[in-house]
Amino acid sequence: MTRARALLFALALALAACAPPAEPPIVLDLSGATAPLIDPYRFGEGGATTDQRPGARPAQETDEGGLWMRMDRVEQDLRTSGNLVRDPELNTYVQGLVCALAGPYCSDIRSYVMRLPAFNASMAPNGVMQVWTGLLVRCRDEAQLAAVIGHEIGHYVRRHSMQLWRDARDKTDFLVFFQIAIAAARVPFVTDVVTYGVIGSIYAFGRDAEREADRIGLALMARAGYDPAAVPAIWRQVVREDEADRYRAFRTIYFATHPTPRERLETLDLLARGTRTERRESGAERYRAIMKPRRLDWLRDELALRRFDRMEILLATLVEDEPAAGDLRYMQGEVYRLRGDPGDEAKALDAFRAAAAAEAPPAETHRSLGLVLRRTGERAAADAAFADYLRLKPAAEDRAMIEALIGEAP
Amino acid sequence: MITRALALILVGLALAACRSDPYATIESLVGREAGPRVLLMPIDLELSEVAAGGLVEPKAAWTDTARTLMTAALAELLAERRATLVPYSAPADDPGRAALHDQLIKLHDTVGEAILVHHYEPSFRLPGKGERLDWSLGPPVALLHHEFDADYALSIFFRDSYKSAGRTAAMAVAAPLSFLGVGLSGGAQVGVASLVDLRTGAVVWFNRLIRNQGELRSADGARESVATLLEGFPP
Repeated sequence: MTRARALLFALALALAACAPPAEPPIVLDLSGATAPLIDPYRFGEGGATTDQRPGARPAQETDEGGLWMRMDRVEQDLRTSGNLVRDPELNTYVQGLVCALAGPYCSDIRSYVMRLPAFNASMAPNGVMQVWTGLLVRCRDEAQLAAVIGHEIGHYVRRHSMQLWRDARDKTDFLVFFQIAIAAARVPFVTDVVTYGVIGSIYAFGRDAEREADRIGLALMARAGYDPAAVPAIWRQVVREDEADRYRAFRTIYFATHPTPRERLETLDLLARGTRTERRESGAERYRAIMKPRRLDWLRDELALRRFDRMEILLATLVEDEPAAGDLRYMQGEVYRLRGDPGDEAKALDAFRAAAAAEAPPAETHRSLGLVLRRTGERAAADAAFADYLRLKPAAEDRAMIEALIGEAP
Repeated sequence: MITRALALILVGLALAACRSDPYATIESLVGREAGPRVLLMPIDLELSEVAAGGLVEPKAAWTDTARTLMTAALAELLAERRATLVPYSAPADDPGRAALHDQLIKLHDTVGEAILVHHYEPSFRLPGKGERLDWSLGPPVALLHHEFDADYALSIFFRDSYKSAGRTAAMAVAAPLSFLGVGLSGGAQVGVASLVDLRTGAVVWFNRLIRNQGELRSADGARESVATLLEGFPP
């Protein structure tokens, strides 16, 4: 129970990004003639309490006031965190997107870009939104990022943190008395069955909140003029990475905080197809102009996770859009150089050579090329690659090490 | 912020029922003619309520009240030692200096966690230090020494929970079943306090409090809790 409680606790305080929706398919008609069938900014729907506007600071005495206090402390930690990306241009861009989607809630939401790998964003009831760089490298265009940010705004507008907290508290309150009664009656088995049932229903409630946030996210991004097809597209990327990962852990849906990526993909695909809208922007060029000069460090963070199978898929996707990008080709080479499956050395050499011939490869491309060539016994070519590296990056911090490798007896 | 330490404290809670175990490296506070000045860093505080089912709900109003009461009790206890409590305020108009302060506070959190690990968990005792409290934040704390004209900085981390009416009822109903192994816990107090010499950076006193009692919502209770937390505090 302790583990379940810890999970619940984490769950109630910050809802993680990932997001999709369900029946009945909502038809969003944004073509002008008819008003949208749902108003994504309405907060008193689908189980939400309507006692106050999201973002209005709750009274100190209330349970929601307690959640806000805790998240205010989290915000203080984020502000002083070494992982916070302080780059003004990037922050202006992300907050601008938040505002384009959040409408009347724009000024309530404070976005924090965190340099952390993995696909994630989160939303807290006090208006703190986290956007991880692992999300930024996975989106192919602005529309995909808008899909995830819209989902987070959905959590905020519907005050999901508060709803989840109350649901979990009320259900565990019931459970303890039930457990005592059954223990007193000395009836076997019943307690276990009901306990699992109640805990399962707490998680199920959380998954429903995710589905609702998915639906709101889709509505918000479509209303802002983005192509609804970007919503299933980002989930397709997640599913493809998941399926490629040989170390993917089996996870039971029963205790899952989110619906499966596949469910989200399928539901959102249906919903996106049913969304009629005139503007279908991707914002791909604008997005790339911001992210491209910044993404190499973020990709290195991903690489450090050593989830090579996932990264292989991610890079293949990005390379489809930018076949001539030297940084992406270099990272592909790194995946193969470090993974070491049969045949990876040859793939790494191909990738590093492609990188060297592409646009703006990092100087480290030549160092990595040299390292693989040493391994395959091509010492002269390796030394030439090392020399290229030192010529391109004369102040390299590992200069002495590389010089020691050059000309070293085999 | 200090979650890992909190987890450790809670482990300690399961092991030890009611304890306060101070360490000190000085015999008395050293200050000036008029008595030493002690800077009170922002208290990391949360009061909460244990729901019937055991979920712990943070309580903002209680926390605010307790912060005020604790601060008053601290000032009183220090006055008894001829020391003056100096309130901390973040440099509002100087982001660069504010960032330095933030990092000093975080450095202190990290050192505090290390002390909790290596001095309160016998299996993690360091061979080179043993039971000797020998930790320092380093000379950069002189920044606070100069800005607040203070000799020491006192930092406090405190978590305090109370059982709700529902929890009390559940405990009462469960009590007769204790022979079946059914047992429910109520509230608890866990706290950590440390004193740093702002002229040198050295941690000169440290204490950890763990117990299943205490009350921070009344002036008398706060005074008693703070006095227990400050056990062994240098005179």
